[in-house]
Amino acid sequence: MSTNGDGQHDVAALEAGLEGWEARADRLKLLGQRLLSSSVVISAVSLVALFTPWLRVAKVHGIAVGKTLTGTSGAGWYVVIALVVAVVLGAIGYKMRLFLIAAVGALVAFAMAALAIAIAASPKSVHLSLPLGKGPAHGGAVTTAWGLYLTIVTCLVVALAMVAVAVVTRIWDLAEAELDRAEAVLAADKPGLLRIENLVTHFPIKAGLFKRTVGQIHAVDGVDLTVYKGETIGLVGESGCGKTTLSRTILKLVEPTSGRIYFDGRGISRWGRRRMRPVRREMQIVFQDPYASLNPRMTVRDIIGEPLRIAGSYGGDRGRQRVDELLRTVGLSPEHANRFPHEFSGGQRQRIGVARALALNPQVIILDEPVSALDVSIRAQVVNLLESLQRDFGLTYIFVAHDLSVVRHVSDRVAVMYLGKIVEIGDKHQIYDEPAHPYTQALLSAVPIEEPSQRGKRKRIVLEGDVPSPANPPSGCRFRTRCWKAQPICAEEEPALIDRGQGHPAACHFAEIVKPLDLVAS
Amino acid sequence: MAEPLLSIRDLAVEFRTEDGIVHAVDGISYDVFPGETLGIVGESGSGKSVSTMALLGLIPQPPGRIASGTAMFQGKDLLKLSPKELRGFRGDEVAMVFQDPMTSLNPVLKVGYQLAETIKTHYPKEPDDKVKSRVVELLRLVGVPNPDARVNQYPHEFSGGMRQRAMIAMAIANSPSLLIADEPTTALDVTIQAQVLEVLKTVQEETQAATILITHDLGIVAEMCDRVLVMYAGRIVEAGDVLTIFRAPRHPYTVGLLDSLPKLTEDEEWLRPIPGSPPSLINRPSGCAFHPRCFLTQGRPRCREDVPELRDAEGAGHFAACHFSEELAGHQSKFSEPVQAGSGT
Repeated sequence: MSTNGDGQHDVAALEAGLEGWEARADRLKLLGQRLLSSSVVISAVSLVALFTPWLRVAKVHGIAVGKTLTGTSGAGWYVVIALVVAVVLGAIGYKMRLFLIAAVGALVAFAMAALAIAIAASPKSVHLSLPLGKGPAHGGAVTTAWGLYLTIVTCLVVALAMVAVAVVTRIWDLAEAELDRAEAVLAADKPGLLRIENLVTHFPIKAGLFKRTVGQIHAVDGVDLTVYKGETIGLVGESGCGKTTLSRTILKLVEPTSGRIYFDGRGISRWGRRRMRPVRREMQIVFQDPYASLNPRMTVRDIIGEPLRIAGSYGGDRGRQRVDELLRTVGLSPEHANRFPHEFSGGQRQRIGVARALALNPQVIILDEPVSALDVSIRAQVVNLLESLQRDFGLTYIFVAHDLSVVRHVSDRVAVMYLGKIVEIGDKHQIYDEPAHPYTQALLSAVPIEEPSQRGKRKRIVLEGDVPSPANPPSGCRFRTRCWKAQPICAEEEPALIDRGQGHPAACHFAEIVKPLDLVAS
Repeated sequence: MAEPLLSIRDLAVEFRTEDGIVHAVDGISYDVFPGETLGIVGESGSGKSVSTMALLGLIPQPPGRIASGTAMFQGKDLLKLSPKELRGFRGDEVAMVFQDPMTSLNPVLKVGYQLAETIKTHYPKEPDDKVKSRVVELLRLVGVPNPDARVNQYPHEFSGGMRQRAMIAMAIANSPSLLIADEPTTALDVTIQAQVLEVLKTVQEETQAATILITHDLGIVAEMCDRVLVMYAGRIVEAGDVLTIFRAPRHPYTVGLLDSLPKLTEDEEWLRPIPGSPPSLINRPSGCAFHPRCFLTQGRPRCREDVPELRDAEGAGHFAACHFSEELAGHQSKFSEPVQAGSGT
């Protein structure tokens, strides 16, 4: 947030406006989609009618049903083609957010309608011989007047739909541009290298014959986080708490449902793939499983060189040298470049993954459980490597892991997540030595003791039950179903992530420092 | 010392692969005493699982082969039993809890049925209603809430932690005298892991079964075990009681393993990793398999030439397989002094 008096009003207004614009843009986007899909249905019905001979000739009370109902059936290919072209142009225009293309689509449909009207209106004396066939008066392909009239109606409906698509696209585009401007203005004021505000990522649950959306998985549900340059922020939590989804949403490998992401002075929440490409160069990711994240058919040189190639900076010797240099940086030798991933051990593969992430000199690297799949004796090697790389290149890390000892070792600050929300955040000493949220306390106390003589000397908080389903999270505080401190207020009011006198923010109405790692004399 | 419940001597297991013979377990000997918890720690590929699977005839043969060894249990050699005789032991006197509860329960059978099956296989004459009440009682013992309803549910209706509890219930169904738990909590989250470990402790108290706990997590060993075997490349490199191993390890691998762990309660600038990576079990380094990664060898030829035997180290019942373990005399691991108040027991 801005601190100077002048900017404050503007920023607040912009922030408020942002929500409105976003809602408007999303509504328009949905409207465009609906218009397009109904036009597709109309055109499809025409097509089906055209290719179903019995429907075309079927008669009820002497009226040719097919021809009458579809209108276009008798009119031949031309109407159908025109309709398909119109809808496709509309879709392309909508997708590329260029309303002119959609407008051209509308024109095509209008032209077809005009043609049909011309045929219908042509007097008997004028022999209108159009590729469409002849008008009913001339005994042409369109044999019933009703058929021709319906052709006209269909064409007009599609044409108007495309006009609507074009208009919607234009307004949507304007809304997006407005959003973009607002975000760009706001981004300049944001603290930290990376800032996330009220980020929400839901995944639809689809079921039934038509794959209708029956619910939402609340994977990330309103997360605020600021990451400062050069720090390591640890994200911890149990499986299903949304830590991986959060890290992928930051990279926009998963589209956020709502919320804002600001990175290095840019608001990237709604950026598309093309615009994200240069941003991705600065934000890289190292995946958990070094066996699944390296293509087994590519040599190490190709794997590490791929980001360079995509960025267009691989050309000739320069790329080769860079790959060799990267291999040395992560403690492998350049001779390894021509080998395939299966020739390496888990630890070495993870080094290759790190080298690939480093290739484009990123500012931020998201480390998604980078050492969980490695053997104990290898973990320390990779952790040390990551730390020395951070010092050498001034990297910023987002370290996602469930191993609390490793997170303590690497992180400056730690955020604890539970069911899609951050429940506590603070520097590592605050989180490990003075945790204020009951979940953090339970999590820490659940870690096995470090040394056999401590057996029975640590207060153990054993949580009841399991993590509730993220499809249907509990009301109020999400941890209340397993919390020993829960009161009626916990079910009614969601606790905000604020400092309640413990020195760092915790999302608990009854936040209170407990030291679960201290030994109690026995 | 009491009579051992299980006595393994010179057990060797090999696997034939396209690349050569993998010596998964190479001549290990150990005893398990009644009522104790023995931890076997090691990295993946150290042979810790294979050594116990061999006891229950769970090694697929071929490609596996038990090359040598005896495993005396209640006066019988488990390795020489016919499949039928072995079936009599498996799930009755010796039971196993596997790592992955998702794949070790049958998804199309009700949990209660699967538990009852374990009992019925060994005691077919047991009346049905008695078996049923036993099943409910077992589920209650392992802390499954509402066991009367849960017996009629399928594994997919159980969460990961609940499934692992059901697996434990199944293992103790016939009150075994030896329980083998192979990475029982690796697939679980820490809060669930804590629950399951609590259950294992309760169950042990209840059944007085000796337990072999296989894990790579030294914290679990510290928490649960009485004695520890440290395995490296198919051999036991150190054995002893858990306090001694954590405080004063006498094998450089154990020293390195403990040093490489980050501490939950303290800040350290750098971790001290073990250099290199675990050896291939096809081309195991000559002599001591750990010598290429060892800080103690200092190029001495003996490490390369002679395979070190497990021999007495400081303290009763403490053994280490290192030619130069005396040089570690007086070494204390970083886990040797408690961080906060309260000294050792």
